[in-house]
Amino acid sequence: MSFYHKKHIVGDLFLFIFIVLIITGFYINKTKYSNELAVKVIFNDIEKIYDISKDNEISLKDGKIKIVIKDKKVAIVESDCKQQICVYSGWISHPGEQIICVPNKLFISIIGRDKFDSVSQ
Amino acid sequence: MTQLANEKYKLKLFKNSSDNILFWVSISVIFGVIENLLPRFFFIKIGFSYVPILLVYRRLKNKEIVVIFFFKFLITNIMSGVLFSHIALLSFSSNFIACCLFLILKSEVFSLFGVSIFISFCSNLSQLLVYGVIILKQKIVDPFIIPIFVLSVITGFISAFLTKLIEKRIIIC
Repeated sequence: MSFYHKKHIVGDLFLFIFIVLIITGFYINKTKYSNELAVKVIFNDIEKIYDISKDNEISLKDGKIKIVIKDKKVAIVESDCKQQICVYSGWISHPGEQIICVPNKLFISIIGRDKFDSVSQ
Repeated sequence: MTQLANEKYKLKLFKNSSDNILFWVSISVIFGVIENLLPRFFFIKIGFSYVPILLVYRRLKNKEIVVIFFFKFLITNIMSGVLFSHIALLSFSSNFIACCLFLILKSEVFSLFGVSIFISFCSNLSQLLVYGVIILKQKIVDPFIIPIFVLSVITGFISAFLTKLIEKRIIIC
């Protein structure tokens, strides 16, 4: 008894093509929506959404907190909190990643795949 | 089961559907439990519990396959104590997809290796989709789809290879 018969080649090829189509479908979907990532910033219970593809510098708390959006990445570069954990979190760029500054009650996350215009409040 | 010449065994399927279901569910659960006892390489699960089903799915009736999958899902989740958790949801999605595909891919056109790899890929993908959509509420498939494909090829191949090894020793009729 052999492990593989030649008569199965057509059927298996069909299954392989189906897998390739599924993978291609996901990649096409990814390319289509790749520019629609956004940065959600919640500070003092106010939520703002920024476009991640536009370089931007956001100042909060009279300039004591500085958030930078650059090259489709976002980071807190300056903060007046004691331990500077939010600053050490570095740059985030993928949907679902977050930077949280507990002393300042600041929450930044990358949200993806939802259609938005530019900035909403 | 009767022993034949050349160290081969002959296994007759039961005439009664419920006997068949009971027998193959128990074999499948035993394989699953053995897999849970084995040390895992990172988080990878080969899917030994599918081996008995791969062995006989072409000879069983559609109704029997569905019931086997239902009880396999129920018993394995009760035994691991995760029936009412998110893990059961992941398990249900993969079992559901695998069951549907076993019913669809019954034709002799497909090889065991092809079926095993394809089912492995689809069930892993369904788990990832369920995990992303229901648990994380995000689409997380894109970065993982290629690793999942590679892992599915490996695990699917191993499952089919084991099935073929068993088929060499046991003739099911």
